[in-house]
Amino acid sequence: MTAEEIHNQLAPETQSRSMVVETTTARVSLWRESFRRLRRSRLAIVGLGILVITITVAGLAPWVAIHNPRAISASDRFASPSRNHVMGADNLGRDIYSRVVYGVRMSVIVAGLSIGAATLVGVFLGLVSGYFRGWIDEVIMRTMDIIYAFPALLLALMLVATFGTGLAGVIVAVAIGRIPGFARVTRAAVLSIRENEYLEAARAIGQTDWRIIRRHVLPNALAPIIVMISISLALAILVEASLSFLGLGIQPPTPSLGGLLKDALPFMHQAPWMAIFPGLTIAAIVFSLNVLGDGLRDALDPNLR
Amino acid sequence: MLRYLVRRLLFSLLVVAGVVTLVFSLIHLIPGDPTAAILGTEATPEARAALRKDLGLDQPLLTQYGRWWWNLLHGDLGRSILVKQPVSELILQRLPTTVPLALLTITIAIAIAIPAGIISAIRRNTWVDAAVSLAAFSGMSIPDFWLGVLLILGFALYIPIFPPGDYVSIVSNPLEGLRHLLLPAIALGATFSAALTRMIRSSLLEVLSRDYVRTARAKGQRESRVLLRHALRNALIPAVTIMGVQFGTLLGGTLIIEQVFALPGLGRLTVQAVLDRDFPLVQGCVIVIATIFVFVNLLTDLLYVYLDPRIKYT
Repeated sequence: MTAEEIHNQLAPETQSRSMVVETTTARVSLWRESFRRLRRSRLAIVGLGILVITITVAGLAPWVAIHNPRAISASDRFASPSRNHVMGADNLGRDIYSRVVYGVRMSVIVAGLSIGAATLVGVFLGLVSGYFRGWIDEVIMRTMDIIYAFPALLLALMLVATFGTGLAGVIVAVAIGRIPGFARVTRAAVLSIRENEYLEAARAIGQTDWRIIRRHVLPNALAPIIVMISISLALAILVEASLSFLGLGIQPPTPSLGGLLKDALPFMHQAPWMAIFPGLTIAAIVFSLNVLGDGLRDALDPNLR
Repeated sequence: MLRYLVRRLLFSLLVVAGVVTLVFSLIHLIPGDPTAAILGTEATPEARAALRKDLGLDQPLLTQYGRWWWNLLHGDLGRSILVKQPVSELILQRLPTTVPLALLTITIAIAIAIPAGIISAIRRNTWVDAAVSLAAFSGMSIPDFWLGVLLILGFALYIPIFPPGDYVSIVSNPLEGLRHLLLPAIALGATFSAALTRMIRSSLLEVLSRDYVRTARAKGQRESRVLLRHALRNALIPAVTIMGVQFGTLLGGTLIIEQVFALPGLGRLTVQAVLDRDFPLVQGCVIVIATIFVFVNLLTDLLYVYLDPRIKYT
């Protein structure tokens, strides 16, 4: 007997469940295949490596940093890079390497929390919009269009002007700016999935809409969401650094990468290392997220399956 | 085509209306008393009451909203709390700095992206392609304000080819004004040109695999003629869409680049207004910048439809 003949002999409820099991097994193989394709992209693996280092540094900041990032030393003012200060010291004699380490930690916290929140809200809105359609789809998408009408940094500026600066203000500002991207991407994925037969089968056996969304729609819409997360994390880090550079983000004395660049501006000629190392760090992290996102997009491309 | 134009225009106007409503509601979303947030906690009750009356916050919400729209449609964006001047006047004073900066940035970005995209596509999978792709990724990753700082260090301080400060308007002295805008335009154009390069490369690769290009080659045409006369023209059409999207990044970038280079533009005015909590000025600047972005996107959408006759919109 062939697998199809066995399948056709099963009771309808069991047929649907076996379709789900088949779908789940097929889904796991797709993920494995996608990861195998990702591994073939050297640039994406480099990006992943840099990202792992970044997260490790952020997590182990108190142990990775050599000095206290807020410790002032009059004798070390404008010290050039040396064994004692590997990235030099700033105008107050503070160790730049230690401040960069804690700045990376702040960037990871802001990016992680803001994009985490944006993913939850945006994906939920996209699922509802794409699955239920009708007036709720119109209301959600038109609201997203209005938010998208603002350039990202302008929206963030507007929101910190309203809700205040500091860690919480920056997280809210960045998160709100990224919600429309997640909503649109999720909605597009849901629209391409919702007419599939396995969803019809799930409806036929009496599953509720929310169960269908949770068990069948969302797992199959994950690929573009994952790519979006990677790209959004890069944007979040740039926006946070920009806000801190303008004095509207993380407030001193808490170190932030953008804040370090702001401090470096008046002393560029005297101590160029004050500007070089924080900027290089931001560029490296954003680069890793961009190349990883690009690699994930290729690896998860359904046309390559 | 006309029906599409009208529909798209109405949609853009609707989005602008949404933008204006959102910006109007900002002052009401400030936690606590907005006048205390603007004037500070040491402000006297009389000063706060005067500001509340000035901003119309003592009126019912619907009246405030109606008056807001009435004033907007008459070109009145309110008065700056700090400098006591009409917001629209302040914005108009700054546009002659920001507009040339934006135009110069787009020109530089296109001048870099088109040759880079072409070279990368025709030398696909070689070290040239890898180098251009790496440069494009780097361009998208480097913060524009950091690039601005490095350019000042390199070409204004260490090798003083460009002026580090003392802005000269391009309107009063075009050549000197151009020298002052070149470094900021390069810093701003890096991300713009990087995204455009990648788009042109991928679009050109797709067009070069088409049948009509194969036919042109089979007819014995020179590769340069095939590329420039047949392929490039069609490959540049999708780049128009990217330019519309990236224009938003450019507008956001002016906010920060004008701070780095101390340019008296609209971006710097907006940032200063936020720092000073000058809410009417913040609202005015945000509305103007967002409206410009909406209409640039409308223009790129219409241009796309005009350039590609295959696209039919019902």
